[in-house]
Amino acid sequence: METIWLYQFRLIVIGDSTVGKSCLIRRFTEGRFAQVSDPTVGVDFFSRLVEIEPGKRIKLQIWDTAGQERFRSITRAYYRNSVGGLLLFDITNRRSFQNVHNWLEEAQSHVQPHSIVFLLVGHKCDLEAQRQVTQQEAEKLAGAYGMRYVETSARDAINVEKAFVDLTRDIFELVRSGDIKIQDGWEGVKSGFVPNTVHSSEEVTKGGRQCFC
Amino acid sequence: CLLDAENIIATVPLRGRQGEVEIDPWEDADYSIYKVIDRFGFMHEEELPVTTAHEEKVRKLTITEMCIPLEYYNGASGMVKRVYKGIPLQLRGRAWALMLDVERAKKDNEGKYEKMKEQARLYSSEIKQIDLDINRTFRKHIMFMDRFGIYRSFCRCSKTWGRITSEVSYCQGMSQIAALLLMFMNEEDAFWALSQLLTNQKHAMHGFFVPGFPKLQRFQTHHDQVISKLIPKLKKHLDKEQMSAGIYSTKWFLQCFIDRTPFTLTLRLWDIFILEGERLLTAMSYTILKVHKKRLLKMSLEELRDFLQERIAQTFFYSDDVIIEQLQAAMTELKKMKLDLPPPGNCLH
Repeated sequence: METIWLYQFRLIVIGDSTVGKSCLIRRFTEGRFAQVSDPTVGVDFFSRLVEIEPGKRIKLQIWDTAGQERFRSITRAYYRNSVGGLLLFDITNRRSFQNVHNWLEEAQSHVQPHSIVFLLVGHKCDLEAQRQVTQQEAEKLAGAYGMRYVETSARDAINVEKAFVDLTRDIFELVRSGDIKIQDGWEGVKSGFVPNTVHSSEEVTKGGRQCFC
Repeated sequence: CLLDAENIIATVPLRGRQGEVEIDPWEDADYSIYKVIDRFGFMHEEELPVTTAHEEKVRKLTITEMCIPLEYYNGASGMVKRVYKGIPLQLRGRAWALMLDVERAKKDNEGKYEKMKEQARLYSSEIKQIDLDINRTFRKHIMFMDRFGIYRSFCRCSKTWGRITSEVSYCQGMSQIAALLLMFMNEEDAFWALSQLLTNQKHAMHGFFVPGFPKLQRFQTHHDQVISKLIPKLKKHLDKEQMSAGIYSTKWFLQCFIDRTPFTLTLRLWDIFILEGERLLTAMSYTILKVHKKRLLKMSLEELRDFLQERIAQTFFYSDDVIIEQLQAAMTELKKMKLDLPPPGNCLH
């Protein structure tokens, strides 16, 4: 039987190599942490349902990408159809934090004419002793870009749910307010199987989607 | 099984960790793990069943058969037959080296390997990425549990590919190929084997790894054409579900099915890949979809992903021998239709 969901949101996870993109996604979608994780070659995707309000389920299709620079020629094709994104850096790796700006530029230049709602994620927060990026400076950077900031750990399952659910809620609000519109030929947001009782009040209009940032 | 594990450990020139380096307890290659290591050297969580007398007998028979000097087979149809039957584990390294002409590459480049290793130590810009990836390649394999082992020094000189073929340098995905070669060859042989795979005409894998991945695109485009022509119903279904070749076939082509088929089958495919070259990639990609066509036609996008990326890496539903037969049939079919290889690339490679 098909599980009923209101919308499907397509998210993309980006950031430097070895910041923990695949591990974070697997923790969220499979509930486990793999000590062994091979480098992602190209792209891959995972799915999970999230209940944001009682009876309101969103299906997340989460796209995992290779972090190495060379793979950008492959991964950049996947920005266009994403409504949301997690931009990861590793709190124990200053370089990955400095590269956040590059990733954002890369995403923005390939998502036109659409835009992506990003969440900045400081990953591996269980490794406090090796921290090279303070929470304050990361929050400041996120603020400058108008994003939320959250610190997560896939190993200890800290804030993993929160990261994905908060981002999903933000996108849901933008869809509800009409700032993000469903569009033919765009995979970012798709309308799902909706039982009449749950979704009669919300009208989804098809048409041109506006940028909101 | 125990015996095999010991053999593998005995023949692998493990350098071991050096000095006072601290390691996690699970990294310690303690004796007790022998019981959980299979004949390929992979660690399992539980103790493995002892192989039956029949299995041993069958294996020994194949080995005896292979004791005729490998060189005798080289180029002869006997060798081809042998490769399609699967090269016995104990002889795989030698057979691969022979087919890749590793000895000649070594002779032509005498002393170069040691020199490159030294240079790589001094200059590698890719070392950081390589070190990052070493820590997570085949970590369930006994050889790669110790991060200061053989693999590191090997990978460091992978940087020098940058000098052999000026554009390749290190690319994610190559580390697993290197690891596979190292399971069956010593460090220097593995290096030259990889060098041959990247640069010789039959394999020319460098095109898969240079920036822009020109060869990958060529093979994926060709794969789409093959399935459009030969299994059009399935191609339509994949299109409808938006399952593109870019998603499922990247590792098939870049790594010749490492991690995407059960390990025993991966080895059989590598035997044939090394013998036949890139046409194996085209034929096997078609074969996977063809043999599972009926199942795939009923699947949604998520199910397709799960099946092609994870499930068939665990179990392929058919025996390795059956799949190899299908593969051979596919190779013949594609050749007849002149679809066995994509049209040549128009770039400089």
